[in-house]
Amino acid sequence: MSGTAAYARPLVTPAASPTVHPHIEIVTTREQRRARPKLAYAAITILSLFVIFAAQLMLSIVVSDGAFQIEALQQQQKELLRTQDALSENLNLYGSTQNLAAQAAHLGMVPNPAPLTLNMDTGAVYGAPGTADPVGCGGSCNLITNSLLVGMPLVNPAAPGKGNAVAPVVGPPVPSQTETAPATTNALPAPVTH
Amino acid sequence: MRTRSSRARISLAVLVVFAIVAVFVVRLVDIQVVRAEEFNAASLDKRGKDITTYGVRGNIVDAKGAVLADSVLRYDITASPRVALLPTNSATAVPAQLAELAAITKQDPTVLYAAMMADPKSDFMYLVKGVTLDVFEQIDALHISWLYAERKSARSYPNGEIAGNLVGFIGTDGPQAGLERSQNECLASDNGSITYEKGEDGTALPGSEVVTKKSKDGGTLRLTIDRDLQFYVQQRMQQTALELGATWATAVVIRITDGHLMSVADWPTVEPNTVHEGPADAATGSRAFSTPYEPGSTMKALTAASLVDSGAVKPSDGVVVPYELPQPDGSSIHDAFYHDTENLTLAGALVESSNVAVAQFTDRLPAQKRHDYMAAFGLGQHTEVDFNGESAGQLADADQWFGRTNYAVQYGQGMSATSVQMASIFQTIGNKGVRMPVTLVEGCTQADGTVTEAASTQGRQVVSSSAADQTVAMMEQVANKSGSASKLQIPGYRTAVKSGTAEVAVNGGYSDNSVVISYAGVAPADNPQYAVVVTAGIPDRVFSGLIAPTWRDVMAQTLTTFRVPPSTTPAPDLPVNW
Repeated sequence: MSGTAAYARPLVTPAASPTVHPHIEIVTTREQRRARPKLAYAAITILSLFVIFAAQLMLSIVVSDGAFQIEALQQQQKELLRTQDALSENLNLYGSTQNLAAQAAHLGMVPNPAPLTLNMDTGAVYGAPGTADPVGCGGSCNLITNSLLVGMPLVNPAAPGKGNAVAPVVGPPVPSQTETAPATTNALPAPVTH
Repeated sequence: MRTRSSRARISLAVLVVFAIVAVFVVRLVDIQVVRAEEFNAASLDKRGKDITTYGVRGNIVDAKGAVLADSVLRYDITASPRVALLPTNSATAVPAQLAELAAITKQDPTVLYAAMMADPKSDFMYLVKGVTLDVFEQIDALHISWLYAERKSARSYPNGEIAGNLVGFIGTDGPQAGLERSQNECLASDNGSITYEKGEDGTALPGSEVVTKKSKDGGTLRLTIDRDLQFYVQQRMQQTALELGATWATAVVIRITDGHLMSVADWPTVEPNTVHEGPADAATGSRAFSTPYEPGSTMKALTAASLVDSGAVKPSDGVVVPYELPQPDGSSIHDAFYHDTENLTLAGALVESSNVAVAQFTDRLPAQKRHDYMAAFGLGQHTEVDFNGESAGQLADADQWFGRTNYAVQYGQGMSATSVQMASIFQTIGNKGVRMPVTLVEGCTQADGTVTEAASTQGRQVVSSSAADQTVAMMEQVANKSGSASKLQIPGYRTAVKSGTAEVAVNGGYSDNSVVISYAGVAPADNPQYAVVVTAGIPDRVFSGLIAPTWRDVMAQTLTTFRVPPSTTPAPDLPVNW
């Protein structure tokens, strides 16, 4: 409604001669023209808004995607920790003294209660090689129980290449090696110590 | 033109507007200020999720780090019978699904089904408790919608009976015995909690996680015990007890230089994994700490050290020793086996384990002084270990030592001590008279790496270095000249021991048939490194020599395990007679 500027005009009587119709136009002042908003600005503003909204949307998508990734990785970490726990539990069990003793006995090893000592300086040997396994149970006479080892498989001596190969007990245990005790090593005289 | 009526209308409108605004303001204050917390909480309830994070109870490990007690994950499998029997699940499928489950858990499916049908409206019941991870994963892979799993932390003792007497165990109400109980402060964990806001699909909203309480893992408790030696010693003590028909047996191996316990064996002992399934009266603690006994003649080593330290007696001093020594009150002191009157030195009194000789030497030192020596050796007091249920033993005041008791306490009757106290006495004698604090726990390493509960290393000179060395030399005479000498030799090492056969008080008197037999000593005698005390209660034969081979084997195993260099000098030869 810029053309509504009112101009005070004197009331005049209609012109006597209707032949002349002067062209009258409402002219905006320079200031008014300058103050008129330009379409470009509006377009830029709206476009920027769109860009901002889009960027925000993208960011939020990226962030929440990251959240899902973190969630998935945390879940994976939880599962791996769980597996680690279970494996170290098994490891503790495999490494238990009773298991090692049973496995060793199964492989035909026997404990020697009469150890020999060699003095590196003098070459003297202390002690006399006694009978290995005087109790005669091939090292399998363990009295100290471990209920967690029930069902623990024994190593299979027939598969020496595979250190981890385990097989259930089958067949008779390997005979004890006590009969083939090494020859006495009394080449060096043991000193009298008492 | 404004009229009165129009003014009235305007005022009314303004009033109404104000009234409405006032209502809004009140409501706003009510919501934003007065009930803000309540609404925030309620909204968090809807969006937020609170989860518990579990701290893990600390491990108990031996001196080399071998795990004696650890925390493991277990799963309780629960079911909702109500959901299972919903029409959408087609109730006919339930027995088949249960059969699949039972095949994994090795249960009877019909029993499980019956349990479910017992309360078909229920939303919660246990199907199987405490399954391991691999079993849980198999069950999880069945994708049965009405099965749920509850994760829980359980305790496992991967070495079974080894050190079970020391480690103790945990019951449903928490730690019940042993170090699990007395060191709970180190081992216990704290659960924490995390709150986060969840999206529609349950995913945590980024940045919404708030740790409301941090969970804290328990510390690792490191013992002085050597697992493999403990295994051997327990094994040997059980064999001994079974051979001798004893009702109990204990053994203690202590490192002389610092008082650290290498092994504390008890028979009968505890299998912490299954203790809850055993009889209620089964052994649950450590007799070596908790049950004092009259030690008998092993106490003569302490007596000899006291007499020599005070200067009252020298090892070569002699007395005339009849079989029997009458007392003013009409009773008499006599030796274990009949012998003709002989002339024994103090060393000889130990070799022959003569009560009569020791009683005569005892008269040379006032009772109060002898009592002070016994107290300084740690008798009548708890050891520094302060084990769960530990006993201090009995040591009466010197003015209560009437009649024969005045002598009897010097050969280990009329007083009592635990196996650990006895081991500490021989540690002191072996360590040139310096008693080191008895130590079972090396320290507690917290999750953040700080070490607490570090053992004290403050020693105490009880007898002089010279008196201690002379006592060891006299005990060497026992190892080499006593009746059981042949059973006490460890090739390459010099040993120093004292035997004990103590009568057990039964119904107010001493019984000839109920005895406690023991051997205690140190090796190598030229530079003592370890002290060993082995004890068997109420064997079916009355003779301390029966347990001498056990002492030798335990000591030999100890010397081998810790690679102690053999002795290099010959044993001294002290006169037994004069």
